[in-house]
Amino acid sequence: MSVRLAAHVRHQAGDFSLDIALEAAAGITALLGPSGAGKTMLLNAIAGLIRPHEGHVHLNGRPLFSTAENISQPPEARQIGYVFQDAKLFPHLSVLQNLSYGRARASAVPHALSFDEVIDLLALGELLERRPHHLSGGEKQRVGIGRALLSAPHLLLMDEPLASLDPKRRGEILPFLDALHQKLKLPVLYVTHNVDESLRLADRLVVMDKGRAVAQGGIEEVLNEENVQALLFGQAGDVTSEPVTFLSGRCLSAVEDVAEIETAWGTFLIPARHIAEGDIRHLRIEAREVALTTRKPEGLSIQNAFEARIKKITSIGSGLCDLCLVCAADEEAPLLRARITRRAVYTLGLEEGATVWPLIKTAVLARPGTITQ
Amino acid sequence: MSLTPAELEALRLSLLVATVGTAASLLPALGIAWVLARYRFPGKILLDGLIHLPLVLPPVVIGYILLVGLGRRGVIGAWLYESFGVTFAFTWKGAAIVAAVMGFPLLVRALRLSIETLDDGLVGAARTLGAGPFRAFMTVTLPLITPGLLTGAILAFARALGEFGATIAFVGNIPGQTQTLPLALYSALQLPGGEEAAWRIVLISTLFAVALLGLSELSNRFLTRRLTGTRP
Repeated sequence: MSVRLAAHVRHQAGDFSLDIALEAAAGITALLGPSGAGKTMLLNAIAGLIRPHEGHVHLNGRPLFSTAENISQPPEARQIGYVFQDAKLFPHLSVLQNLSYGRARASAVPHALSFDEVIDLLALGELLERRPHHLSGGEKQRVGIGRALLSAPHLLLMDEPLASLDPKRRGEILPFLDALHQKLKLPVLYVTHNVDESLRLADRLVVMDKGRAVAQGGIEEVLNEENVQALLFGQAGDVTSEPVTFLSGRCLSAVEDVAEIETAWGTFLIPARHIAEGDIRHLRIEAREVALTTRKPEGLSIQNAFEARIKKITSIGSGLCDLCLVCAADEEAPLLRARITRRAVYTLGLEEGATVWPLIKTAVLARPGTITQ
Repeated sequence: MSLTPAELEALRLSLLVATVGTAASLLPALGIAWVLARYRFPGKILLDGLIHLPLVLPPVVIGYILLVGLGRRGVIGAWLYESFGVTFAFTWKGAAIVAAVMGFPLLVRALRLSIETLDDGLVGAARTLGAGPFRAFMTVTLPLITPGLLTGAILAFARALGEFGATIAFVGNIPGQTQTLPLALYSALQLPGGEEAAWRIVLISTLFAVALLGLSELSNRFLTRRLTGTRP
C-alpha cells in the first residue's frame, strides 16, 4: 500500500473525544461505525473545517496540518474534495454554476478529470440549467460529487452520501460510485454506517466507535474480528446478536449469471450479474443461514458445502447455539459462524472437535443488500 | 393637485434622509446582527436590549438623547465640532442619523433572522472548493442573506420616511434643512387653512408607504422562490 494520506487527529468537543490515526492509499477506504462515532468530525478535521487540538494531516507527503510544526492550512488551500451528507449545493446557483464553483483551482492541476468526463461519468448533462431545489435527492448527490471532483482534489471525502436517500435512489447512485471507483486514482475516505455499502465499495476498512479506531485493514480481516462483530452485529453469545462471516474472494469465472468466487474456504457459486473474471467480491454469510450436516452432502440443491471442524459451541439461550467452525482445508481461513437450534446440536451429536459440513444456500448470497448483485 | 415647491423640497429631503440613513446603517447592522446570531457572550441580552431601545422608547426621548450626545454642545458633538468642524444638530445629516438610529433595530432583526437560518455548511463547502473567507462571503453568504437585507432595509427606509418625534427633538423643523414630510404635515396643521396642504402630504406619504410595503412583499417572494423553490 502506498500511503497517500496519513493523519492522526486528537480533538475534544464537550464529553466527546476523538483520537484516531489512519492511513489511506488510492482507492476507497470506508470509515464504518455507528452514528456518534466521530466519523464526520474526523472528515471535518482532515478538510480543515475544524481545527483539532492535536495531531497532523499529511497528504502526498505535504503537511496540511501539524500541531508539532505549527502548520494549519485553511480548507481552501488543502485541495481536498468534500461530498456532504446533504450535498450542500448552493441554492442560489444553477447546477452548472455549482459545478463550476471550484474549477478556478482545478485549472492549475493537469491530471484532473475534465468537465466533460465528470458530466458523462455522473450523467449530469440534463441537469445543468436546473436549480438545486428542482433536483431529486439522488441528483443532488451526483451534483455534489461532480462539484467536488471538478475542484481537482488530491483526496476525496464522502460523508454518507447515500444516507439521506431511500433504497431506490441509493440503488441509482451506487453504479455511479462504482464507475468513479474504477476511474479515479484518488484516495477516497467514505463514511458510512452501512456494512453492505462498505462491502460493495471499499478496498479498505476503518471501523470506528466512540472516537477511536476499533480495527483497520482489509475487509475480510476487519469484519471477522471479534470486537468489530460485537460492535456491528451484537455481543457474541447474546441471543439478540446476529453474527456474520465475511469472505473475500476473486471471481474465477462468470457464466450465465453464476460466478465462481474463490475464497479461503473454497470456491463459492453465487448468482451475480455485472461481474468479470478477476473482480473481488465480499460474501456476507449470516450465521442463521448456515445449515450443518455431519456427512459429506450429495444430491442437494445447495452447492456451497465445505468440510469444517467445530471449534466452539456456545449456548445462547432461547434454544439456540452459536458454533464457530474452522475450515478443514485452510486453518488460517476466517472462522465460519453458524447458528442452529440446541435440539439440532443434540440430534446430530455435535461436539467441539467434530467434523461437519456447513451448507450455504446460493440464493442467500444473492439477496438484495448483499453486494453480489 | 400638485405639490408646492416647499412640499417638493420636503419630499426630496425625506427621500435623501431615509436613503442616507438606511445606507449608513447597513454595515453596522450586519456586524451587530452577525454577532448576535453567531456568538454567545456575557452582556448579549444587554446589547440586544440596547439595539431595540428605539423601538420601545418614545421617539422624543431618542431625539433628546441624540441632542445631548451629538448636539453642538453635546458630549460627542462638541468634540466632533472642535476636531473636524462637523455638526449634526439642525442639519439634514442629523436627520439622517435619526433615520439610521430609528431604523436600526428593524434592520438588525431582519438580518439576524436570515443569518440564523443560513446553513453554515454551505460556507464550509465553498471553502473546501477553494474559496477564501472573502470569496465565500461574497458568493455564498451575501446572496443568501439578501432577502433579510432587503426586507430590513425597506422596513428601515419606511420607518425613516415616517420619523417625526426624534427628528423634531434633535434637528428641529427647518424648511429646506430638516423639514421632512411628517414635519411639513405638522407645520401645515399649525396654519389656518392648511388642511389642503395637509391632505396632499397625507396622500403622498400613504402612496410611498403602500409602495414600499408592496416592494418588500414582492422582493421577498421573488427571492424566497429563487432560493428555495417554495412560496412564502
